[in-house]
Amino acid sequence: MLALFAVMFFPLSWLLGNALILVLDRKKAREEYFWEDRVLVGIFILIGLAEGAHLGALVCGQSVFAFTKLVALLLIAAAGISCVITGVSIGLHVRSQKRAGAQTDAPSREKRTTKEWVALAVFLLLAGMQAFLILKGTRIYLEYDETLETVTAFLRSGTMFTCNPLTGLPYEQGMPSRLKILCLPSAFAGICQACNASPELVVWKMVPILTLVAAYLAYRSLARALFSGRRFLEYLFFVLTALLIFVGDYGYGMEGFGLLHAGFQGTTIRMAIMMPWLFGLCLRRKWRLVPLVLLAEACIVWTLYGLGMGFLLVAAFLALLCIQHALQKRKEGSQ
Amino acid sequence: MRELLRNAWMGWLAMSDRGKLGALLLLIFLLAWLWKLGTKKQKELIWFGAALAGLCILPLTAACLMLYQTRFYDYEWIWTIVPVTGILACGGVLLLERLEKSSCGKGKKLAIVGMGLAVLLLCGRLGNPREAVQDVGAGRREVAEVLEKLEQSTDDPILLWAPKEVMEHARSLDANIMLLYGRNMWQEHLNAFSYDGYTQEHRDLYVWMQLAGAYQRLDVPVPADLDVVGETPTAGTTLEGIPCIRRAMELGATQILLSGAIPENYMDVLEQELGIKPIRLGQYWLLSCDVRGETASVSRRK
Repeated sequence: MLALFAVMFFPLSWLLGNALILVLDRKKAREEYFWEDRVLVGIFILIGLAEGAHLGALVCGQSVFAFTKLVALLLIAAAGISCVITGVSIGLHVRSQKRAGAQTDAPSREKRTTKEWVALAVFLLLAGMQAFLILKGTRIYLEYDETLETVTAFLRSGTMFTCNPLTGLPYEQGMPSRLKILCLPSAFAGICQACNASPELVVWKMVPILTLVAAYLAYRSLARALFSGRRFLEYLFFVLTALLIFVGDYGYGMEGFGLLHAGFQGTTIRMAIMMPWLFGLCLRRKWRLVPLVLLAEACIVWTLYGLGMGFLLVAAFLALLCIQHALQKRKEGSQ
Repeated sequence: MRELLRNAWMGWLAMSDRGKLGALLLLIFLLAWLWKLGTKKQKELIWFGAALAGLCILPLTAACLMLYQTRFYDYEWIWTIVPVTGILACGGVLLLERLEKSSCGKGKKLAIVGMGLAVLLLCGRLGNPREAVQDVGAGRREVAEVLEKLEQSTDDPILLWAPKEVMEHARSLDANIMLLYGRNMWQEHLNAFSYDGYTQEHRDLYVWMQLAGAYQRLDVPVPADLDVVGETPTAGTTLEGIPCIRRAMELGATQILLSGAIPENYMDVLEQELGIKPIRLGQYWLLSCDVRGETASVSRRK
């Protein structure tokens, strides 16, 4: 069941993401968004659904079981709507193609050259080694984290945040509300419950693998923005990214360290998936999807009343863009 | 504010001391500037990244960023806004592209690529992170076996007091087991997840449990350097075993695991004093105290 979930995770994300991109930017959806964008948007929608169900269950004092059912219902509804939107979009596209008398087949892609194959193989080897290290599951960074204890406590008690996960005793003073609203522990508990899987397997192995794959999708999107169409350079970018993840495995707060030893933490998901993709969106000036990332960040990490590092990045990017424009105008004026 | 500025500067120093990707990033900025590397978008990534990196390095702006990200996170997390991996990978690709176009021979190019790769690998710690990454393999399996035996020994709810290595994994292995104190006793950062704290009594119990195993006896002197969060017992004083165990029972501990390194003759003393026969359980001694039975009688005797 867990294997099925892991296999279906990305296609389901693609479906949800595709529908939202079609709704937000119908005219440019086909040309200007990549399939990685669709998958990543879908992942952020899933985070949103989990957050909605988590808050609902928390406010109504419902159990983890109720949370899982609520997420399942929301997911079925969202997937149904996404299927309809995608179906209608495909139908409209085929009709417009027929009307225009153009071919509906996708243009054939250029074959990969030998050096592209070599670069791709090296990247896959490095990424495979990283996946192996994660699946081995023996080197975990626990010092700043109590996710596994929290998930285990949720599943044992059936309730959320009623006891201190580190001791199992009822809270005396309680815990910060800004931590209570974060949805990752209940999402992991929901996966354990729905798939009848052990928390250790889900938190320490499955989720970090999904994080690693999603991180590479985010970097692929960034690579496409940077090296538009030059496939060898894109592959070279992946190889260097994979190497940097290994090299960055030297200390807490580094991307490589997070991906290899703490892929289940919200901070790792933010650093390795959200920020590179957000930077890519800023470079491509795709502002419509930006709020989705900012919201998703607020659902998984402690932020300043909802304003996280994503917001700061976008604000800084816009400010620097304004400065750049002003400097250019001044330069043109002086000429 | 001065403290925050100091933290920001010390944070950068500590970060650059751990690994050298920060230095490599500065090198990429320098080469990109000298050689005017990149197309419009690549330049945007590099130069916007450089501006953001500058904000993270300068103490004043870094302190502001630390305030913005809330005190829940440490200095290193302000670097989240800088796409370090993206910039380095992009810079690397641009340098390789420049090298490919250069007129030098194939052998020389290969040597340069090899040296670049070596420099890149030496910027990290070659798979040995500075922070203690737990090897959760064998140790965790051993704890799981002990906990399984413990659960089989009683039908009552278990409130466990045990050495650190058992307490560390107990809750994530079996949520049925409650603990006298959790990992946040010795991992300070975890205290940010809850408003609850520990009393001096709890800290004394933790210190005694660790030292009893190390000194292999029941009455232990307190050393000056202790791995404990909050106030520690005064260095030089002696923590006595029997009162500590009695106090743990009064606090509700139903199962107590003592280090197996403590010799058997001390267990006879415990049996005489507390009226509970310690049993050998793997590498530990188990003191099983029924909540309504022995604990109550121990309290009365005291």
